[in-house]
Amino acid sequence: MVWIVWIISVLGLSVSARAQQQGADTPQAAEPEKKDTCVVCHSNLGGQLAVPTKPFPTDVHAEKGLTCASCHGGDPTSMDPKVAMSPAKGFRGRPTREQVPEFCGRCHSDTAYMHRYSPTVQTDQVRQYYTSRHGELLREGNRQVATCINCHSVHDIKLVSDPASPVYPTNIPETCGQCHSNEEYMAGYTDLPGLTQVADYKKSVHYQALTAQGNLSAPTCVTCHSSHGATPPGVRSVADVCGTCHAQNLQFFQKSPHAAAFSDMGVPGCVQCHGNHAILPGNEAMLAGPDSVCMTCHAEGDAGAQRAEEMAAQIRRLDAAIQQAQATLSDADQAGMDVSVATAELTMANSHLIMSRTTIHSLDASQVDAEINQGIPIAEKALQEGRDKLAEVQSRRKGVALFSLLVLAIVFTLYLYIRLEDKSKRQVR
Amino acid sequence: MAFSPRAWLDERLDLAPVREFVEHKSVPIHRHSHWYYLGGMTLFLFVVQAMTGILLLLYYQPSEANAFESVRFIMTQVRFGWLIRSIHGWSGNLLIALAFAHMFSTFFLKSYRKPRELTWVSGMLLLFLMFAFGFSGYLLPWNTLSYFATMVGTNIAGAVPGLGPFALRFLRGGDAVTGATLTRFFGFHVAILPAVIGPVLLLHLLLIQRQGMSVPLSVEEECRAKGTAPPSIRFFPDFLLRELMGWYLALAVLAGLAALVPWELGVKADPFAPAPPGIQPEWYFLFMFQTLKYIPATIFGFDGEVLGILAFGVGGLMVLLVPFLDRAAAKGMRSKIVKRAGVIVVIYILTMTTVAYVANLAR
Repeated sequence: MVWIVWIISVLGLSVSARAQQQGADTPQAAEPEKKDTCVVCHSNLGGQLAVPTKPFPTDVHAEKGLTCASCHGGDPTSMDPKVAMSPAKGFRGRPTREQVPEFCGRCHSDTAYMHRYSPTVQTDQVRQYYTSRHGELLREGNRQVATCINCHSVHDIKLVSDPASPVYPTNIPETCGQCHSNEEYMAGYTDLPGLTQVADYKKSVHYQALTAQGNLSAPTCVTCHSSHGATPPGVRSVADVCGTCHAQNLQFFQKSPHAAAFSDMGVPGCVQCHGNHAILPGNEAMLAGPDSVCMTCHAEGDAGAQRAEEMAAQIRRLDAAIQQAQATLSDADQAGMDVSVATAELTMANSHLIMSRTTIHSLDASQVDAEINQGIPIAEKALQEGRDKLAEVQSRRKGVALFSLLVLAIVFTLYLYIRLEDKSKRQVR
Repeated sequence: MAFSPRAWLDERLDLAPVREFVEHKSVPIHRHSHWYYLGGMTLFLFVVQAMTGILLLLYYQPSEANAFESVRFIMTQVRFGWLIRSIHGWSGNLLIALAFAHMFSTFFLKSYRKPRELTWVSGMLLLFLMFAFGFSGYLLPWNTLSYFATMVGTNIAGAVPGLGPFALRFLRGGDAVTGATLTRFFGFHVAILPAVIGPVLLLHLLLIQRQGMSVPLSVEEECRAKGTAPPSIRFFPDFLLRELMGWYLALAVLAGLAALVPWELGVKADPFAPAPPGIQPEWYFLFMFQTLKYIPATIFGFDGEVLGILAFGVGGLMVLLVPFLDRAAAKGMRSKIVKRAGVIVVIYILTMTTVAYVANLAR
């Protein structure tokens, strides 16, 4: 077998050498790149053995100047496969699935080495990986679980910041979904809740922010579950996970009667009302009305339900006032009036609206009222400003219309004058 | 002896020939002479455009980032900036409407007949240049409507056979309507077009001055039958007073339009946003735009849109050369074919423009 590879390699090299001679007048031919017999041979071998050579030139490792031998070892300067792939020359060959984390970790866990490429790069990925469910199962001998190459791909690895990378924020749901949405692949994992996580996530406000609004810091799978240390958040930690971004909501919730009640009932905090993957925009519809989540536990007319309705009514009042002011200011803006100050002020009312929606987690109606009572006067002032500007547009129009009438009066006067002149000239004749 | 400015000027410039000219210049007067005022009204609006345009130029910034904001600044911060912009916008439209009316009145009165062929040609060139002014100026506020209307308009230019791809890239400064297009259109609007229209306008006015006003064929025939010359009035002050009335009337209509429908700022153009429904070019291009919509995709194996554009090109050329095509008029005779063709063109333009508006309203 080895001698067949050797013959093919020598043939390939002779073809390559002829090609170089033919292109000897090009700069590339005049300055040949560093000899890398791995690519030369493997590209001529065809089939599975040639596959890595095609995408590798655009791999981030290749772009940083690394070669096949940087990972797989061996002697890339030798044309003899026996020498090039000799263990004596440090050839490591292809790692098994179990070996992949350590294989990548040779460099990626070496802080001194990695800081040559980026002084802020993480080097604890492998350590984190073995704390994850993926890592635990791999150590238990499960060869199905994700290793580095399942998420980052292999031989065409891109930087996380590259939109072509499978771990670029907008690509993460699909990358995780390759396994987690695959019914056949996930068949044996009965401890997982189901296969709808990615489909559910795509309905969420987080996915909307990520894709429609282009907000790359919006949460994806890895934001809550972590990337390398991927573990599903438990009942106790779920509030902390959401609270990483929604810090104030968490603080209000922890001080609310719900915190103890949820804990006693053994239900997760945020997820109980908001769901986990299909998280819809939070608003007062969740408090009162047909979509009320409060009524999941509370009975019609009880104190909790009443308080929820009161808070919802107050928030709706401010929301309506802001929308009315925004519409009026928008009309005035499009009419060419300066509404920049009023628009800027209205953002303060919006802040109070957001804050009022946050304070409902305290279940304290007086805190919600305090926000509403600060927001309403700002919205009313902005509305009045918008109306004043629209009134100014009307007064300008009236002024121009009056001018138009005055000019028409001049036209009429001229007409009469010309007629009189003509008449007097005819009489003179 | 008291100082007399007239004597002072006369001593230095010898104004006697000017006085002589003003005292003796006369203009024919007859039942069709009110059409003469349309030219003067168009000229008046052109001056309004130039003056308001210069005022806007003091604050306007021709870049993708600043164009819309500078127009907002003009409308909100500059004293009477809203009025200047509104007048500039409406005056441009009214100017083209009056230029159309002036052109058709001249056409039906056959004022283009010998020896006024060049006056007609220079007038038609002025109309085409005014279209170019309108097209280039429409993009400058960089709002949603202007952005997408320019995209539609330049697409049509791009469909012209042969020259189309070059014209498209030349107009846009690239493949898409971008800040480069805006800068280009600004250059056309404030530098190239004014530089071209100035000499053509001067030529047009000079020719009118040299040849005098044309008397319609019917009036000429009546006078010939009576053996009299067409009656006339003195240019100064009689005709000028009538002209002044026309100018004031144009000003009143202009102010009325600015009062009824103030020119709005709109919403800033977003090249990545989808085109809003019902995007149309300016009203004076609508009849062509609507026609192109009705033309089948292919006609006898040829691209329908290309054939439509070619047809409009040939039509425009025929209108430009009408003094040389209407042989009867050159001999002082009436041509029913030319008159009927003119009537059909007017009805066609009015119908297609109305259909385009109604279709857009229905949408």
